[in-house]
Amino acid sequence: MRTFSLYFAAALFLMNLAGAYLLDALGLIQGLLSPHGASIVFLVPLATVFYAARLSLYFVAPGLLLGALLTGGSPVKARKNPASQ
Amino acid sequence: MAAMPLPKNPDMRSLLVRALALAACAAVIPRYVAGHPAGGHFHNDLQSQDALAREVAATVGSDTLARAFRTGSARFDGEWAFGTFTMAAIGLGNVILAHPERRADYIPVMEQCADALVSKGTNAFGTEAWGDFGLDGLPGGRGHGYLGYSNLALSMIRLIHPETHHSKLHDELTEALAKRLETSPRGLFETYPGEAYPADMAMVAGSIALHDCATGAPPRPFWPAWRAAYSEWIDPNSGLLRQFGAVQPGAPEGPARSSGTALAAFALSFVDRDLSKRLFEGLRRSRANVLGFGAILEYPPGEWGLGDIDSGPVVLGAGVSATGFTISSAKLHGDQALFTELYRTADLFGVPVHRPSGMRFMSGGPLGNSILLAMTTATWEWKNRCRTPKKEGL
Repeated sequence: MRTFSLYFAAALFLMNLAGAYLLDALGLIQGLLSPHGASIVFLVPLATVFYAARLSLYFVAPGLLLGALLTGGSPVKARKNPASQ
Repeated sequence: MAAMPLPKNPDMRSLLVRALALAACAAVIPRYVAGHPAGGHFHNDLQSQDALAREVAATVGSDTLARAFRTGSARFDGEWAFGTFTMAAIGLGNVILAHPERRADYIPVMEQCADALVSKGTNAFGTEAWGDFGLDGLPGGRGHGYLGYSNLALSMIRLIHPETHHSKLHDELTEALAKRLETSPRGLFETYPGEAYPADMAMVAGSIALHDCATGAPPRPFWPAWRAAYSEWIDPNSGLLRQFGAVQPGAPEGPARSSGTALAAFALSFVDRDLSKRLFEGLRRSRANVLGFGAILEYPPGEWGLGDIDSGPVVLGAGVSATGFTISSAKLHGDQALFTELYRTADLFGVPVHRPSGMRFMSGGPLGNSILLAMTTATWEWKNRCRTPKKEGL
C-alpha cells in the first residue's frame, strides 16, 4: 500500500509538472479562445486530465502518503502475507 | 474530556487513520504550497515581482501578442489587447516604483505599450463603435470612455518617466476626459454609444488623478461633486458597484456585481483612498473560502447569474475577474489574510510555470498575466512621487 501511494503521488507530480509545461507551450488560453475547433478537441481533455491530476496532487496525494506511512504495517499489508502473522 | 475510543476492528482503525490523514493533509498542505509565494508579493519582494514582470515584458514586447486573441469578435480581441498593454504598463510601473533599479529595463517596454495603446490599430474596436478615432480632435470630442484605461497607463508612464514622448497627447487626453467627466450628469459618460460603465469611469477618474499627481497640476474643483454622484452607483445593501449605468436618470441600471467593483476599487485608489476602501469592504463581504483558498463571489447573496466578458468564468458563484482584481485592493488596504487566500487560488488554478526568463501563469494568457502583475504589485508608492502643485501666478 505504501508503495502504491508513493507511485501514485510520483505519477501525479510528473503529470502536474509535465502537463503545466505542455499546456503552456500549446497555449491553453489562446487555444480555448479561438473559435476554430481543432485545438479545443485535444486541449479540453488534456486540460481536464491536468487539472484533475493537479487537484489530486494537492489535496489527495499528501494524505494518502501520510496514511500509508501511519498504517504501513497494518492489516492491508499484513493480509497479503498471512504467514508472517 | 474523555478521548474518543479507537475502533477495535483493525480494518476500521486503519481506515479511520487514513481518513484523518487525508483530511489533515488537505487542510494544511495545499494552502501552504500555493500560498507561500504570497508573502513575497505582499511585501514587494524584488524576486517575486520581477519574475512575472520579465515574462510580461517579454510578451508585450514581442510581435506574438497580435495573434494571441482570436475570439471571433473584433471588439473583444481589441479590448483584450488594449487591456493587456494597459495592465502591463501599470504593472511594470508598479515594479519600478518599488524597485527603481529596474527602471532602465522596463521603461522601454512601457513606452512600447504606450505606442500600442495610442495606435489606430489597437483602438480599432473603439473607432468601429463610435465611427471616429478617439484620439482625434482632442481635447474636444465625446464618449470613448474606454480611453480611461490607456490614459491610466500613460499617467503611470508619465509619473515614472516625465520625458515620455507621449506627454502632449497625455495632457490633451486627460483634459478631454476631465471635461467629459465634469459635465457628465450622473458621474458617468459613455464607453460606447448608449453604454456606460461605472468601472470604466473609475479608470477615467484614476487616470486624471494620476496625471495630476505626475504633473503637479492643482486639485480639480469637480472632484467632490463627482465623488458624490459616483457614490450613487454603489448598491447600499451589498456595497458593490452597479455593473452598468444609464447616463440619463430613469433609464435601466445594471445589477451590483463584484468584477466591476474590484476593478474600480483598484482604479479609485488613485483618486480617493476612502472611496476605494468602501468598495473593498463590499468585496470583503462577498468573499468565499474553501480550505484556505479564497474567491470573490460575482453576485451579492441571494442573486445568481452567468459569467460574461467582464466577469470571466463564474464557477460555483465565484468570479475569476473579481477574484483577480481584488488581490490589488486587499494589498492596498492591508488585508494580508485575504490577499494570501486569493493568491492561493490564483496559484492553484493559474499554474505558475518557471522558465529561464522568469515566471508566468500557464492559464493566464497575455491578459491574465498582465492583470496579475498589475494587481499583485499594486502600491501606494506613487503618492511619494507626486510633483508639488504649481502655484498660480508663478
